[in-house]
Amino acid sequence: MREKIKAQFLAELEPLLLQTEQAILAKDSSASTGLSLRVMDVVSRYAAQLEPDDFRDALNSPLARAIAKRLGVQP
Amino acid sequence: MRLLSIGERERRLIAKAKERAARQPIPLRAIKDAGFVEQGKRQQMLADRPPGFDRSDLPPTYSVMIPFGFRAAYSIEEQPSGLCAHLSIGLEDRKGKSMMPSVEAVRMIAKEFGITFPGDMIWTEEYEPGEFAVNIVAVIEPRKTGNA
Repeated sequence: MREKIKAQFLAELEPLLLQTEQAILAKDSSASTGLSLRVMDVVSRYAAQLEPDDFRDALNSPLARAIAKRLGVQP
Repeated sequence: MRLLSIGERERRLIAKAKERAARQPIPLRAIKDAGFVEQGKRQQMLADRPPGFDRSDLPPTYSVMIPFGFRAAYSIEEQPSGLCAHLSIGLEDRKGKSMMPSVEAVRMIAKEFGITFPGDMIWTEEYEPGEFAVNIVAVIEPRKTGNA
C-alpha cells in the first residue's frame, strides 16, 4: 500500500518538477513560485501517508537529480 | 533556484538558535493570541491573518541566515498537540518578487535543525503579497492526554 501511495506521490510530483524547471529557465519567477506552491501542497497532502525516507527518495529521484544538475544546483 | 551552502559557521549559528529557542518556549496562549494555532491548513494567505494582525506582536523567533539568501526562523512553541519545534524558511536578498525556497532546500535546512522533513505539519505562508515561506512543525514532546 505504501509503495502504491509513494508511486502516486511521484506521479504528481515529477510533472511539477519538470514544469518548475521550465519556469526557472524562462526566468518566470511568478510561475516558478506558483509551481513551488503546488509542489509543497502535494508534499503536505502526502505528509501523513508517507515516511520521511519516501520524501528523501522522491526528492533524490533520478529525475529530480537530473533537473538539479541541469539547473546547476547540484554537482 | 538558488544554491544552498551549509558549513560549520551555519551549524554553529543553528545550534545557538536552537539553544536560545529552547530556553524561551512560546506558550500556547501567545500562539493562540497571534492566531497561529495549528489549523491543518496547507496554505496560509495574507487574507487568512486575523484582523489587526501585527507581526511585531509575535513572540520572538531565532533566525539564521544561510547562504545564499535563505532565512530560517526557529522557535519552540506549545501547540495543542504538544511542545513543537517550528521552522519557517524564506528567502532574502531577492532580485525579484514572488519567490519561495525549493522543497529540496527546505528538506536540507530542516535536517540541519534536526527536523525530519516533512515534519508533523507543513504549510506555506504568504508573508508579503506573492511571497511565501515554508513552515514545518515537528512535535518534540507530545501533550499528555487528560492533562490539558
